[in-house]
Amino acid sequence: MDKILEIKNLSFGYDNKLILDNINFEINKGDYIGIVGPNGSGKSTLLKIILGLLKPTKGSIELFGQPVDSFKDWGKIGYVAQKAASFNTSFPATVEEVVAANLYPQLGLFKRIKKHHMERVYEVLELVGMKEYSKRLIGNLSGGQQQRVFIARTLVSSPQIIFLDEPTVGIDIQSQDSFYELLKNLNKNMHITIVMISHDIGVITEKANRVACMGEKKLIVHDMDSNIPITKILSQVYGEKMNLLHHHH
Amino acid sequence: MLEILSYGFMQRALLAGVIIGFLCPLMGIFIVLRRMSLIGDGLSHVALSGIAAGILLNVSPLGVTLTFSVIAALAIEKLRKSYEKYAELSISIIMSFGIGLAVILISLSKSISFDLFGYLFGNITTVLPSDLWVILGLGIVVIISTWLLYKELFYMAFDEEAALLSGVPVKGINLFFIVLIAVTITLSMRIVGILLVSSLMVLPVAASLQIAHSFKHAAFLSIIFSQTAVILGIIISYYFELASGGTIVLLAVLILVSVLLFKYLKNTAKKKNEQA
Repeated sequence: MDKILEIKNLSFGYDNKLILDNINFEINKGDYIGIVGPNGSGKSTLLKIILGLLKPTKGSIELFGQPVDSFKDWGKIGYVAQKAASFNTSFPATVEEVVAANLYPQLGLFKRIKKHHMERVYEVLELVGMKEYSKRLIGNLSGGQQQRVFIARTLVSSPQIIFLDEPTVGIDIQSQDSFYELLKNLNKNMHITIVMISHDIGVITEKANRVACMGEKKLIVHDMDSNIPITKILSQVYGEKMNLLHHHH
Repeated sequence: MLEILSYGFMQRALLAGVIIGFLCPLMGIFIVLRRMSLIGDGLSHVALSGIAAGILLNVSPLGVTLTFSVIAALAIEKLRKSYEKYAELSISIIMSFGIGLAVILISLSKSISFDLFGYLFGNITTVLPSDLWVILGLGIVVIISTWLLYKELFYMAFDEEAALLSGVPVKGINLFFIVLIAVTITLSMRIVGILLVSSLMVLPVAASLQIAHSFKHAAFLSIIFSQTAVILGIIISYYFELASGGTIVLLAVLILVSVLLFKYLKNTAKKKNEQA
């Protein structure tokens, strides 16, 4: 299987406080991975280290076989942040302007966005079901629609892997369902690897093929096809008194 | 009306005004959307010390001011890293330094000249032919740089983290952009004056944000509003012998108030229609 990400003996901490301790983790092409764990267990920190936004104290990270420090091909990697934290809703930008911004990896510095580049923008907006909103201001859309636009923004650079940090926080349940449906479609039909941090363990265990549980500075990766029940792993992370309830919206 | 065009100084003032009316909102739209509105004030106070130094040393204030404000711009960027959580503090530090230095230099020059007054509040009669060439040349450099970096500046203004992740050289562009702001302030001081240049960067953008339906539209409207204020302001200040900077800025405020009123009336009419 093609390895997209390989983390070896990774540790991270600051002010003498260890946050991640000797983590080993691999992501293969086509994976749908959920990262779960209690608040403050270091999930977002791990994601930031993978994306090169934070430097690890120890260990190595390779993206597509290259060390993250010298990795240049950022168009291959998509990232969708928590909506609330990431943008100013009164910013006067249309949906198509937001999506076109991420043509940067293809175009590079100084090149202008031309008409033919916009075809790709409309193509990905169609894919996420937002083409008819392309001239609308991003701030006037609902939370669910905005997250679809941010997915389109990552898709425009044809990524092979998309990282999502709690993408459905603050989004109504129906929109969440169709959002998860979209991710499934990207994973199954377009073979895009999905890595999602989420608090919704029910959804993660249902959708993902592997679940990575963060807790006590460690990462335990569970294969959903294995015979060991996931609850066993989860109770190690969240404590013994933990029941898993699957709910269908 | 054509009479004012027959004077050389008015031709220079209007030409310089058109360039400045383009530059200020162009920088302004990125400054406002990145919540850096104070940077214009910070850099213009340093520019004041540049002017005072120029007058004291009896050399062209434009060159000295340009050097001072570019160094100050770089210092703000450097300090911003030391105070990551208090970004506006770096601007305050540089602003204090600028005023302090300016006051000392002005007091050293013994007499506060009329020339300095013109730099503070704008004086259309002071644009020399050599100034016009500098404004024209550097103005075009700023406009072309912004045109070439438009998509990067837009991405960074909308979502700096995402821009960084997609490979945009955010650090380098930030540094270059702040130098462009310093250049714009220096070029604008003859027409709008040091104390008012930041208003011309912010007011037309504030008006455009109320009614724009895309980023491009906001940039376009800001430039239209700013050109209206600058050209009308220069003409009015000529006929009524007013300080050009004050006239331009008051016109920009008037445009902003008109836009707010227009939006209010439009919304009220819309609500009435919905109720009917």
